[in-house]
Amino acid sequence: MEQTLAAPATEIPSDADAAFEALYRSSRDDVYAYVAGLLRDRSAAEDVTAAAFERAYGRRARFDARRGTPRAWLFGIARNAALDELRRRRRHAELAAEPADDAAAPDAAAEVGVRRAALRGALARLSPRERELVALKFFAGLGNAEIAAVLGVSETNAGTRLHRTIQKLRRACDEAA
Amino acid sequence: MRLRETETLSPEIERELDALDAALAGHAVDPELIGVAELARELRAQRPVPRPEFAAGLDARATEGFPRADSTGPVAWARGWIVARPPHRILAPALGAATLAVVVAVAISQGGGSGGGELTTATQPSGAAESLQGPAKPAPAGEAAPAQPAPSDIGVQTDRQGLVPGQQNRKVEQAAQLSLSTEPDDVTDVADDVIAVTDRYRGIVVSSQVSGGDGESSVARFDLAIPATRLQDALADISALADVSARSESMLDITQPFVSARQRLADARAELESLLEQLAAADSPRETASIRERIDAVRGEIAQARSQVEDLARRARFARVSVTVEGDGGDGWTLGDAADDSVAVLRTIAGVALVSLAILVPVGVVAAIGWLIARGTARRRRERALD
Repeated sequence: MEQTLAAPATEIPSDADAAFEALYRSSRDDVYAYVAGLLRDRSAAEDVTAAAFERAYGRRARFDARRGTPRAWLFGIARNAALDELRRRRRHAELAAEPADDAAAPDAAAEVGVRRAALRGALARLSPRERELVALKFFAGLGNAEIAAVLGVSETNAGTRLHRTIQKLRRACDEAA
Repeated sequence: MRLRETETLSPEIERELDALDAALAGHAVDPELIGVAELARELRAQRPVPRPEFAAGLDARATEGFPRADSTGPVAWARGWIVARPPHRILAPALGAATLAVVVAVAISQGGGSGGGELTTATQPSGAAESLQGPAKPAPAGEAAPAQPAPSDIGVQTDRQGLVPGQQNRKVEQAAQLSLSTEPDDVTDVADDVIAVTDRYRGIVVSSQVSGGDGESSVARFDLAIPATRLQDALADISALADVSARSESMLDITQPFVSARQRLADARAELESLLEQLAAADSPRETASIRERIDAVRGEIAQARSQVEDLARRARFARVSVTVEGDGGDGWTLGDAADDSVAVLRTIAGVALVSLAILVPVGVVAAIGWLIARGTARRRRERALD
């Protein structure tokens, strides 16, 4: 049976509205984290995140459960919005989202601080495609199947790409250490 | 390199991916993969967090249903209406509307072609055509004129063999066949009207035949000679007397045979004058008899040529019109008529549907290809943003 996020013709809140509301609540921060990780620009990430939810809300009647989960559908829309922004700007901003605990924890262990700094450097040297994988997996918390659906590749392909990216990050961190 | 769906991950990769998921979920991992787990947790710690002000603002917009800044105006409304609906709910009505529009357009164009009447062009029987046509080449005296090609169902035919370059006053023979259909009881009245029209245009009823009556299958046949200059007016008036079930017209250029016949007549007359002069100068009975014999022969040629000239001139002046008036032999609209009409309607619908498909299918295929190309292009452009 086809699942829908659509509201009926009447504007009375329905289960479908509730479903979209739940999707928004559970994915708001994840979508922002993914977009910010990809764009590396906090201000642009806010605009793109808002635009993505706006588009998703307008197209909620077009959601087809046969093509994937609601989260995969939502992140597909967010990805298109982010790529449109990247095309428009044609520039890559520095990652603005610094972990709050880092900035607010000057007494953190030196070793941890060094490791995190090395990781941030390694992240900055990743290609956009690799950075997108990291953002989807670790910032947005998507499963491998959802990542595959968002990227339009097979799950095996997504897993292999993710593994290569992790290996690259580990090597970069080890070299920095 | 993109892996195919059938390929599987190596056990080592699967273990590391499982360790990533376990670490992110807060579960214990294999000590050998502790480095991977730590990296996963460190990456998770790098996760960007939205500003509280932004989150609050977005929540407010979510509560209001994400109103768009450009949501006013008919274009924005139409775009929103389309985007908000599943493709099948848009495509089905759009396809239906397109099909309806094409069907209506085809039906109108087909209906316009018939002019609202039942006028059709029928092939003229070859025998009738031959009887109206003159010879293409001058036929020797006493020989039958060679058969002319039967006029085609195009309706108008010009015999190129009959053309004489430079001839100004061309002689053209015209003929027409007209079949009228009416109620059996009205055949006689229509026949009278045909004669009245013929008289009105100073035509001649060469022959007429009326048969049947009393509701049986009545039929009236006329062979008319109508002045060629008024043929079209006469045909229009006759066509208005009843339903036209068939109509055809033909034209034949008889200039060359006319000129040839007239030349033969002039030559024969010149020869006659010469013979008469020779006769006056003849000085022996034998010579006189020989000349008189030749004079008789030439006079016969003159008579024949004159007759041929007059016949060709008459054929050019008068158009031969064959009119058939038929009663349909039935009493009103019968079940048989209904069946015939049903078949005709179904045939028309099938034809319109076929023509519509011939338009819609290629247009749909082109549109689908265009849509796929546009979609693929947009996708590639987006992907290039990551390169």
